[in-house]
Amino acid sequence: MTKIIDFKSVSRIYKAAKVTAIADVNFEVNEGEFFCLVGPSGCGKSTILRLIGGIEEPSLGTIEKPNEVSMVFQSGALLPWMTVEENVSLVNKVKNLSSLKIEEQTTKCLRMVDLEAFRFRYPRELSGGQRQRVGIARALAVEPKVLLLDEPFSALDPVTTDEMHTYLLKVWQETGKTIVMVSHSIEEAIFLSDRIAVMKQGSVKEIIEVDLKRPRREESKEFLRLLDKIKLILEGI
Amino acid sequence: MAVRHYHHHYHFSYLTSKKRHFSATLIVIAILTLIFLSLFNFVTPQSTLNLNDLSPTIILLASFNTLFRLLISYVFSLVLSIPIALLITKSERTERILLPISDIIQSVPVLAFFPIVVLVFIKLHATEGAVIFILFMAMLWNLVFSMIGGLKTIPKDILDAAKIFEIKGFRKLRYVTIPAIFPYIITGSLLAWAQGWSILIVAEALHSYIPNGTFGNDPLGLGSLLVNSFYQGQNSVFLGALITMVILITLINFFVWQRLLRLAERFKFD
Repeated sequence: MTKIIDFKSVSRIYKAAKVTAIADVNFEVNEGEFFCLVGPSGCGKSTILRLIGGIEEPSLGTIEKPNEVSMVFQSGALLPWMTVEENVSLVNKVKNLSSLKIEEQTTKCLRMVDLEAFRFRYPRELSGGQRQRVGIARALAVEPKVLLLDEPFSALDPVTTDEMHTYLLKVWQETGKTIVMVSHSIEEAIFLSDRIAVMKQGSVKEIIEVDLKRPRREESKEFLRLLDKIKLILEGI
Repeated sequence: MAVRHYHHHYHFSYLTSKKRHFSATLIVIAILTLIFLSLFNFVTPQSTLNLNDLSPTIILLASFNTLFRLLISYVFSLVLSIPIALLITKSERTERILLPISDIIQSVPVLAFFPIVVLVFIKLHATEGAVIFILFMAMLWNLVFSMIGGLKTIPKDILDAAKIFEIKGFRKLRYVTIPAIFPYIITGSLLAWAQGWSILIVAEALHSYIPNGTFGNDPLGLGSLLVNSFYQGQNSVFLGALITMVILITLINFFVWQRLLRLAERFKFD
């Protein structure tokens, strides 16, 4: 397997606040992999995502990553004054792509998340799940090598979250993109990912392989065993 | 077909109704008349000294002049307030240094500058410049501080999204920053115009600041008409100017600000 992201002894220190968000973090993500970061609030999961996304720079260590990275945000981060289509096509428009290419790319991505019929709607006219799907379509429209997701479903109800999991797996299987997702839900991480980095107090405690066939069932023995294993790591036992 | 579809999504359409075309034509004619009359008057200024010759046309011209001055001052303050607000909020450091400075400057009453400003502009034979400068100073800070408020409320996720998608420089300003602070620009503009109207009465009565000044030194406008008619006991002129001003403010509020405030709702984050 080809590695696409490589963290080597990475630390991120916020000097002004005198806070070490992550310390000496080492891990790799393989191409086409669904990789998840789980852990309690403030353990540095989102910092890792921001470092991969280039929003922040590491204080120590090195990160190998491709430039073509995009992100789906917890809030959706859609521009309320733009329609679904405008939100999805904006980045390609800014990149000065031809109208034809923008149109093709936008339609393809909206179709992938079943939102073609909503292209002229504004974000305020959509449900929470639909907004997140627009966020996914926007992130895919720039044809990234790595797709980052920062707790994208944490504000959604359980039924919509299940729906979103189905969409995300469909997108992942259709595009073959590498996905790095941050989640506070261990169940979600086991349900979706190939490997899980369990984080605590700014460091990666363990990387767990999820060797379960898809579609996964939360009530299966293997699923529950993995769930207990990760819980024990987080509880520090 | 696909390309046509793509271009179809923009918020406006060229296929407007006849009624809209007619209204647009009237608005354009009104704006052009306003500009023409005001420019003409600025080239050959008419003083408000002889109030006995006052006619509805003069009141109309005074209204045009006043609106023109307010509009020019507003455009100047709007254009300048954007870079000032962006500079102040650029980083924590710039904010720490520049925000208190701006706060002190805006706290100095605008009329404190007036005597010096008037003298400078009279030396330059540009009395209109003095009025516009004072209106500009009065309007500027309302816009700057509203915009600072707006810039500080742009959600972090939006700024992160702009960064990760490499939307920067002028494009970030055009597609993200300006629309994101649009509601604040509108409320700031409303306050700026309100401040402009209230300072107008003093700004157009230049004679009080000119040594041995007379009413003849005042540029024609609703503000100078109000002041001078009051001092000359011309009650009908005073009343006419006052009613005109109230009507203008109401019309602008109804046709401009109310619409823009409604439009601004679309630009608000959840």
